[in-house]
Amino acid sequence: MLSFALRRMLAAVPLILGVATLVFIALSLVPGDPALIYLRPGVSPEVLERIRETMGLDDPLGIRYGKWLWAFLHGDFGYSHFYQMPVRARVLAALPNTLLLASGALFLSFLIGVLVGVLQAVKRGSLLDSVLSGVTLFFYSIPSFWLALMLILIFSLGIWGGPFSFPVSGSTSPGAALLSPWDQLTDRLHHLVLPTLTLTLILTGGVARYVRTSMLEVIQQDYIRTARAKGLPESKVILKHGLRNGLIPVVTLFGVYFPFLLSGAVLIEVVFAWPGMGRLMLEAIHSRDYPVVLAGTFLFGVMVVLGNLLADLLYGVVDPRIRERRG
Amino acid sequence: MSLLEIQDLRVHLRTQGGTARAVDGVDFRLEEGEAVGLVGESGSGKTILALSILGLLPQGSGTILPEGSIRFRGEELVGMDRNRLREIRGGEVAMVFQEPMTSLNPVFTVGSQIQEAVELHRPLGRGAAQAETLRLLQEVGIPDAGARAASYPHQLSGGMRQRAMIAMALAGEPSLLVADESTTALDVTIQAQILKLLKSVQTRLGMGLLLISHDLSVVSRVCDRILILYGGRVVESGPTREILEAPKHPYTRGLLGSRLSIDDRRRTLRPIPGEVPEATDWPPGCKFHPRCQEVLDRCHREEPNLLPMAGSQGAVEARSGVPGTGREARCWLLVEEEVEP
Amino acid sequence: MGSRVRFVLPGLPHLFRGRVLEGGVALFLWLGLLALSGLRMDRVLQAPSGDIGDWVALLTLLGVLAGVWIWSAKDEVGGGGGAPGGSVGSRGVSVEGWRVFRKDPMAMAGLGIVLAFYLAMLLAPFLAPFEPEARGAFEVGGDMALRLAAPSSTHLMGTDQYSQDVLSRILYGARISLTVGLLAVGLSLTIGVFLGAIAGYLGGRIDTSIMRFVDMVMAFPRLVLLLAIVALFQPSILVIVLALAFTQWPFTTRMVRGEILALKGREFSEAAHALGFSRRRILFMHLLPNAMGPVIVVATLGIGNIILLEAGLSFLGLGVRASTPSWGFMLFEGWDYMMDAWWVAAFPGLAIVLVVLAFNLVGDGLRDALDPRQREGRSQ
Repeated sequence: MLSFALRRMLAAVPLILGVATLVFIALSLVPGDPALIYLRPGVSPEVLERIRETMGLDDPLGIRYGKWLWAFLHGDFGYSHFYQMPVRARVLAALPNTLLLASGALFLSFLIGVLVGVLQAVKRGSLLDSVLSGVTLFFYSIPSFWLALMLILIFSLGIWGGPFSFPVSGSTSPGAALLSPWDQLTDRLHHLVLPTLTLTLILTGGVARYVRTSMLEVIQQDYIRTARAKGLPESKVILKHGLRNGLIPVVTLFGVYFPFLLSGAVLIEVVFAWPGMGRLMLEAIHSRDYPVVLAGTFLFGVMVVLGNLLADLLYGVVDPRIRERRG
Repeated sequence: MSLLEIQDLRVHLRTQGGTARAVDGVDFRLEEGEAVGLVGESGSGKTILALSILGLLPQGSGTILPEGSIRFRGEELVGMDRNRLREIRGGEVAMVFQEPMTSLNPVFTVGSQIQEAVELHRPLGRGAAQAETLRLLQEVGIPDAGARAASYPHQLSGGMRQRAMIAMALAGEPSLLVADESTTALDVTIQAQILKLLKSVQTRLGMGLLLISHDLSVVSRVCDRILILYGGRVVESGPTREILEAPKHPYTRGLLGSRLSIDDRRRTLRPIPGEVPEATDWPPGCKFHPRCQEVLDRCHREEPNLLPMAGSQGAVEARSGVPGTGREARCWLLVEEEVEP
Repeated sequence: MGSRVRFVLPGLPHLFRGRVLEGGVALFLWLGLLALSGLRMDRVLQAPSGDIGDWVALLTLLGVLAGVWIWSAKDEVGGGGGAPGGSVGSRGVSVEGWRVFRKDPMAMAGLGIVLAFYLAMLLAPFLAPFEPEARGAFEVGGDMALRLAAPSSTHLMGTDQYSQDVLSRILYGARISLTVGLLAVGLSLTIGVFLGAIAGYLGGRIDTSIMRFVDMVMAFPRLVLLLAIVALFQPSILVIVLALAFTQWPFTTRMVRGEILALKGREFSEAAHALGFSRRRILFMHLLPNAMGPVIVVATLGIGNIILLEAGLSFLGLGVRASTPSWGFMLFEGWDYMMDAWWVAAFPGLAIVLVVLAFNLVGDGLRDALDPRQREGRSQ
């Protein structure tokens, strides 16, 4: 098991390098003066020249790549002219918010998705199955931002009182810094609800559909028949013997869904004004702050690679057959 | 009271092509400690028969309920209360399946799966159950039982897996063991070993054994009595020796004739002509008649009943009323024979 | 009755002979399009002097009418319906698959919706009650009262902040959303199938390098990749279509490669090799056609995703800025007015949902039709 884990982690390293390289390639392909990427448009030629020298933009491609890669992998993403601070600082402030949103939604959607999927598989063909199929298909098909808008609409109507009056924007209420730590935490959580709910709903549909298919296939297997022949109660047959096998492909789904999750997070952050990486990237694009855009792209790529790594490791835990096969 | 008594068992499946009469009226008895073999090709209904005993028929869209009667020590299994059925499954009646690779759960260790069966049917604590699991593995001839118990199914060879399945079946100390094609997926030498194991276990524990196979030679090595199945019905039955030496039904004769053995001087294979028809499309009259070399006029029109044969050597006296206990065959030739001097 | 009537009212005799689906659709199209031309005769007559969109609409109108009529005239009712047997050869996608698909009501509904949308898009100039771009409110003497009007009998989906009819904008907006989707998928399919085929078939270093590249591209969330590309290379239709295709091709490549690998090991492939067929021939004539089944399923489901991505991109303000906006862009503009005029954003959103749902239904249906293992109850 340990060697399996190590092999997997080792395989992730070239992937991260590849991600960085791809970003660099994109950067190099941009037409026009590369120096302009790092600056606000409309800057004087002398400043341009100076920037070109310091950044070594006139060096041959190979050296430029090497220097850039070195810097990037050390977290030095350059300077953001829009925010007037090193990109790294700006990005590190936004990253935890995105992770918070994404992991919450991931956890919830898999939890609910598995429940729904198993239920559907066991009650296959029933009215419940059909209804749930429709619901999951619906949520699987709607654009995340549209769902977000609809939820904002619903929750802004003011008909929900008390704890249900979820705020529709930002991560904190105005003047939150003045509240007690406990209240601050509650306030934060309060703001987290709608974005997480939206993202969860979008994902759950896909997960449930997948789990349903997987469980249906598992239920047909011979070892389920053996379990019944042993005299086990049906609940144990499905939940112990069946689910354990049925969840194996779902773990791989975990890895596959991660990019999708992050894409959705971007849109939801924008709609709910949640101060995460997605919103940051969009602001940067609109204000032509390319260093931030590049750094953001890179970090998203890294998150996906790490997410996949996690999924691979989980897969090894869950399916003993995979541990011996070549990494 | 017999260990297992089946009367007029019918299993009809509703498929897209029509109603498949997989099992179409089967009767037989199996006594305590007796080893009975059930022989049939694919399409004869033998697997469906085996699965019906414990109520393990595949649930497609809608439940398939067998009709007729299956009695285990007098208790009716068809339509039995689910809780009692679960007690019997693995407890008093155990089943061993064909494909050990797919019949064992790939994500649990072999030992844990056997132990699960032990804990379910015997009043033993954790530790005692573990010890019992190891003992069972040894009993079925698996060396290094401790290591094997901690292995996953995919780490064992085919023969080992089948032994493990048998161990799992024995965990509940059953009185009847149903083995459905348990050796088909194995190499010939391993096959012999498993059969030997089954026989020794059966005699030692005094269990009833219902061995199901398409291979007559496999069955003849282990069983005292043989039933030949065709078209969802028993077409011939009797003690093993008599079936092998003097088969009465043309199908049985065909099965024997299409076997090969090393010291066979014949140069040509003599297979049975034709194919088994679909279970939705049985021909009228005797189900075997389109392929029969000795077909009579009557066979086209009427399906024969299982007819007892008079005075066969060493035959068990046919118990009155219940077919499937003595020497019988479902063929009009018998009647013709008796008429002729 | 059949022989004369089918020249005048295509589809009617088919209806009466029990072929409800074909007959109903044909009749509906025929009568519907004729009614449309009648009601909008002035617009139709304007078309030849209009832009390319008008021409497309005119040609579609005439084409569909002609097509329905010819089909009805040639298709004998009763005898000789449908191609007998069809070519079952080595193709996985065959007449059999279509037959299964036909029986699936959800899949057929999805197909119907998709085709309806595309038809509506092509016929937009005639179907739309108003011109999509008519910023009348800001012209002198313009109608301010029509600004942000709620849905009514004249404006079935209301108007937006520029007094433009939402329904018309949706019809015209379909052009961007649906065409970009189709183009991007087509492009990604071409690239993806090609790369996947050579990776799977040739193996070795080529395979490894292609798959490494695939892994790298797939390491980015698709929207993020899209945003980055559009940010760096300024949004134009070309860039957006290319970018969308770029996010999609890795999935196709992986799938095709997997299928080719599976098929390579199968007996008929070895048999072909033993018979002396050249590698290229084996690949293109034997392996690929069999691999196409799952690829088509993935492609269909992929269109839905691409439409969502394009909508997302437009929603963020980075999408195509043609004279007629895409649905996502309508959402972008309508977002601010959500509270007072929910219809401005709700209807474009609904359109997106409906189209994507429809594509998903079709994709599901295709998958069920082409993969026999998915079907109900195996009896053993």
